[in-house]
Amino acid sequence: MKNRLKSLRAKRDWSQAELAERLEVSRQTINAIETERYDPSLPLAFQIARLFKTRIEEIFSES
Amino acid sequence: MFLLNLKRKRDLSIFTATSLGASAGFLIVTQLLGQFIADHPDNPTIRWLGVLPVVALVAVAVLALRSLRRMDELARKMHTEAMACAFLGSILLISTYGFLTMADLLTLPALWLPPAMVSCWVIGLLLAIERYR
Repeated sequence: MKNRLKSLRAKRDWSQAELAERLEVSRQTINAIETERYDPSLPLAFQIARLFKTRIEEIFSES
Repeated sequence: MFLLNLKRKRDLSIFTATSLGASAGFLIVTQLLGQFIADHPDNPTIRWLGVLPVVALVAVAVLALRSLRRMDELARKMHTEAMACAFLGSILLISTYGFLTMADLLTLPALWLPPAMVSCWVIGLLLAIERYR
């Protein structure tokens, strides 16, 4: 699955560690999602969408 | 143990050494305990000491499950994959061991199984770490 997490994070000038702390996951999880090696669970995807005040479909899309 | 960052080589080495060291330690202690019990065949109190490794193993199982629940989702996925690898590896090893023993091709004590299972788990974890690196 493709995602825009890296660009959304960059827009807010957050580090991976900062985003991880806000989402209460590890930095490795953020890195794995950004490099598209890991697709987050639905609850985490919703949490990410809420944090960036956008819809899930605008962050994640089918590859 | 799970506070370690397993993507860092140093932490991964600590984790691997601790896991393998603990299972090797368990193997030695159970061997010594077994020998001690065998040396006192008429003492029923000492014979009950044979249950102690089971208590330790149950404690490890409870600890592993509790740790799994506390992990974040990626770590949980990696450890679940590692446990699946350990489970399948153990089935393979136990079946092979059973067959070879039945055919009189192998005479090993079954105590090597816990270290072998931990090794399968570590291998599974290394594969999972490599996949999500």
